[in-house]
Amino acid sequence: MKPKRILIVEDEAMTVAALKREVASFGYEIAGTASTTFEALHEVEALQPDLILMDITIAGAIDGVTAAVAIRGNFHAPVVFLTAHADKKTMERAAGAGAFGYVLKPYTGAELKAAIETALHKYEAEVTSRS
Amino acid sequence: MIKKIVLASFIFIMLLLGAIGWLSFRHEINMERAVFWVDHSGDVVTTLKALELDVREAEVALQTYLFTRDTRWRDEFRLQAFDEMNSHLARLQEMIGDNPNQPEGFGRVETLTRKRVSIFQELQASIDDDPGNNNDRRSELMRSGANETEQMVSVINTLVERENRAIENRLAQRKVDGRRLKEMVLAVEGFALAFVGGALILVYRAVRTRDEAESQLKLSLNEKEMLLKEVHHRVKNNLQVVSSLLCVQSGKLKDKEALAVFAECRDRIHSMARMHELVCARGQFASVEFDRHLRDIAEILLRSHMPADCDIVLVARCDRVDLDLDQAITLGLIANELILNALKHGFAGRSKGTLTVELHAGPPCEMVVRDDGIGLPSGFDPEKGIGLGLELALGLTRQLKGELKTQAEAARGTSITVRFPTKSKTTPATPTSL
Repeated sequence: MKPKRILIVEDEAMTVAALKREVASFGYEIAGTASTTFEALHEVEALQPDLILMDITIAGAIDGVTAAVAIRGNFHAPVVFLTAHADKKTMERAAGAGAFGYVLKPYTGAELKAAIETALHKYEAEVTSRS
Repeated sequence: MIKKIVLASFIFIMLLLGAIGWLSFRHEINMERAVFWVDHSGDVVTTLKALELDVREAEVALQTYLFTRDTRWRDEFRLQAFDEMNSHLARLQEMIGDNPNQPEGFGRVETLTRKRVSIFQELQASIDDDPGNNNDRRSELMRSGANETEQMVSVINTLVERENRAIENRLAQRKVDGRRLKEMVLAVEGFALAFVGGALILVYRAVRTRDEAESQLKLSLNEKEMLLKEVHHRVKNNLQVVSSLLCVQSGKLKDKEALAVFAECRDRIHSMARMHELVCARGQFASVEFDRHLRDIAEILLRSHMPADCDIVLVARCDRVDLDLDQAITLGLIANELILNALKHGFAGRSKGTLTVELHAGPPCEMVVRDDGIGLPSGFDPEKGIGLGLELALGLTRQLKGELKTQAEAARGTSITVRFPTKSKTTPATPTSL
């Protein structure tokens, strides 16, 4: 079975390096990386990933939550937020954007893996029920 | 400030109302007195006029008796000259006899009246003795009597005028007093209104100043909260970078022990980061719900470090304990080390077991990490020859100014208790298990 492809949207190089290593260790393929929301939208269209790991506070004209809304409206891939923001307001915004998961920084490998697997499963279930 | 202004206004208004009441009361008393004196003067005038009338009627009765010799007229004369006049004189004596303003006038009226009565008596005796009309003495008495009457009437008129003037003066004085009272009441009311208006303006300004200060305070508080949230957010981001660095570095390693050391380091970083997360989520930066944090890290560590082929149940019995951030981070690291130690070494060779974490509010606050695993080797001394985890836990306990106690029995498990002084809020413990 072909491994799922994941796009990492994060502007912190060290975190990107660690994410790439950890996501690969879970058995997924890294579709690509983006360090701005503009780049992220471009890469989603170009690479058609199966899941997007998206930082909320990221460089660009729009933040990660707004980018997630745009992705959900135009492309077919679930978004999992990765952020250091744990306040209620940010979480509500993320939920309102239709995110499939929410991982708080600094994350543990187990948390990240669980969030990715849950998001992929929920998305597949949603696609199946729609079709 | 506002309370003081309101209290001062209330006292001032009460004083003003009291002053108005006192003025009104005095005015009422004066009015009653004036009415009494006006009535009194009216009575005096009436009595004086009645006395004058008595003299005139006595004269008429005596003259009629002289011409008709009808004794009924003599009786009428006697009635007027003796009974009526005496009665009116007595009444006048009663009314103005002791009045310091009238004694002279009353004395003259009385003297003239008595003199006139004596002339009347002499005239009547002359008529009774000599019924003839041509009597010189009688003519002399009549002239003298008429003269006395005129004098008496003149004095009576003077007294009447004086009483009338007194009435007019009293009425005029009452009018002035009434006007003065009205002016005073108006002045007091105006002053009260001005004072209340001033007090209202002061209250309004005080309220506005307080509102502005509160708004400034809220704004400042919001800014500080935002700043603190941002600081916690940056700390977490930096911890993520450190964690990522360890993750990337560990990718170059092949040695299992070295990899485990890196993983433990990441666990410690996560324990600290979770504390910042709790602070941000709760929105209170002064303290942390440590009981919640302890449950969280126990669950996370159990998930990520569950020994292979061993089913471990977690039991948490935690009182509600709020700790300040410094103590919470230190105790969180201790909990991390003790739970990791229990998971790494406590259940070796076992297929199942129970890991218990307890938090007692105290004082002193007490945290217990207990397993029912293989226990510690005999002769184990926590101060000597121990691993890094327990060494860190001992050092961190000293940092909390507390003590760490180990209890272990071979094949019966290990219990490690950390006790330290703190102020804590408690609620009864609720055991939970995974």
